[in-house]
Amino acid sequence: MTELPAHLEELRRRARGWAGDLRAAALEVDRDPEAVRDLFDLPAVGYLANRLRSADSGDTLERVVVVEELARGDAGLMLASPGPSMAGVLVDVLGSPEQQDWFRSRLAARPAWTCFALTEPERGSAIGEMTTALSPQQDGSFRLDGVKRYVGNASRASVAAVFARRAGADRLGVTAVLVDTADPGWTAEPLPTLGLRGARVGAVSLDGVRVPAGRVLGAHLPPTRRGMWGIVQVFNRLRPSVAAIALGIAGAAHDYVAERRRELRGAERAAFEEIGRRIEAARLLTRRAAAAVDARPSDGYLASAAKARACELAEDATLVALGCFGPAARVEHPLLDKYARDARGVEFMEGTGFVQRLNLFQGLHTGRVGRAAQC
Amino acid sequence: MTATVEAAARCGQECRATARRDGVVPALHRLNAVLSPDAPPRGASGHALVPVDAAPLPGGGGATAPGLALSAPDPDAQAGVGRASAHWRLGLAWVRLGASEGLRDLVLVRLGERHTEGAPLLMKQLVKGALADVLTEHLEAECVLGEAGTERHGTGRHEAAWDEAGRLGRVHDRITRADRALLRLLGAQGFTLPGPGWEAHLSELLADVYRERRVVVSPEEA
Repeated sequence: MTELPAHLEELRRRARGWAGDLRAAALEVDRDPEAVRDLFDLPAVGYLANRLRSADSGDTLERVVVVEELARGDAGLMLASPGPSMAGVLVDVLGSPEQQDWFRSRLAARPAWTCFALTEPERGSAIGEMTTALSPQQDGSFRLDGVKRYVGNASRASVAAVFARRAGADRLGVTAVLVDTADPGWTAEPLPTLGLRGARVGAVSLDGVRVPAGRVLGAHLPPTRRGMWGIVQVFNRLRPSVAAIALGIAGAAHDYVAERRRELRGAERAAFEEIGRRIEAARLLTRRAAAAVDARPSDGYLASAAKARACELAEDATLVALGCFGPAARVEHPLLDKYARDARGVEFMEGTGFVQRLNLFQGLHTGRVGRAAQC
Repeated sequence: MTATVEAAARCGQECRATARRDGVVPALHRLNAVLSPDAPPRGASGHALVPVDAAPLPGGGGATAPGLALSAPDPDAQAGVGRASAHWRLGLAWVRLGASEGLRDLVLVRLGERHTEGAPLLMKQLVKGALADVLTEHLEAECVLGEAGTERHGTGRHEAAWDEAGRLGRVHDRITRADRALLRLLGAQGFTLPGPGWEAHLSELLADVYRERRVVVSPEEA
């Protein structure tokens, strides 16, 4: 992954150009997440809102390249932007052509948000512990009941992808459905968060939401590809993007120091340079992980390594940056303070560092990653 | 003799595999044979570490093991005479990565065999986490070394951006830390000679002698 293909390098340059707009609006959206509604004309927001197709070959690498640059502008505003986002990847992998058309038509008419409702209170994202229930009804439709937590953009989404357990299914018998959030039984409200406030992370209550049979994702696929198989593929595709968000936050903090502290000396300079090298190294790992998923969607071990690595880096980079500005840096440098708060949020997206380490160990233990090359 | 980029890259991978399978000394023999056939190269301070198949072990009462012999510093080397080439220095980093991966393989086997409270030590979550962290270090080092091979000797487009002392030096530091983490998992087994602790020690010595001097870069230049 020495150099990006020409079209991705061009896209990366464009995204870098858009990032300045995001940085300029970052603190405003941090104060008032709904301010994003006045920013639909920004090129970055428009790109995210209109990028309706996600699962093409090479898509994961493309996404990490763009996401890192936009998050380097502002991760909160990037996550606040309308568009297919994580639900789009899910629909592209598990949706039938009709479901994809329905999903895209909901987003094509006007900028609209989607959300990805997986995590549950007290149970986290563990598939085996999920209690949200999908119950068949006599007319062939389904009824959805349960509660979800920590769902980005939940309160403003018009379409939701919701994970639930089919009534009578075994421990891993989880499926995903598309929900029109205007339907009766859906309620969502934002939760206060320390950082990434633009993302409007929220709580969802599902009280007898009716789901037509045609909105159950994966029903057109062979049985072996409907449930966990597809869900794992989706998570593998998404994980490098979370690493890219973390890289973007780290890069933003690093840029901030470079722009404002030109005379770093001694230990400060050494720490600054070390963060720069860590960003470069984690970027290489993240891009390699994305390319691995694009080549083989079931290969998510490198993505776990990249995600865990980049999230630690984001926290370290923002703290080192604050340390370069002395006492009261968090007061006198509100943007840097925001980066430090945002950096904590990526840890909880798409599996914590502990979960990624356990996944990575599983790959090591089973010989799926870290094998000796044949020379 | 100047190795081609492809030959150097191939040598790096072969030496990595040799170090992983057989240890540091056989891999260093191979690296020298391909990329410094006339004489063992010297580091920035003029010292050289020469692979030997029977080095005396410290406090070993005459016991020997494959090791490294230190050559007295050559003043000319500080002016560049006989210094390790960039290809060789990169190859050395591959050797150290391979040796560290070999140590990781050993830990997987040993901790899989040891049991506590009815389960292999390997399956304890703290052990899993520590091994996952080491694997991440190795994967990242592999990415950086792969990139270094193409940047340093490729089209020349990135030549100015390549800060070997900083970037390769960081890879060496991370490999050392990975080795130390793996040795801790082996307990006192990693502290007695010969054995995995000795191999990691040799690897650290090589990093020390062949490290390039740091060139400080200011933020605006970075």
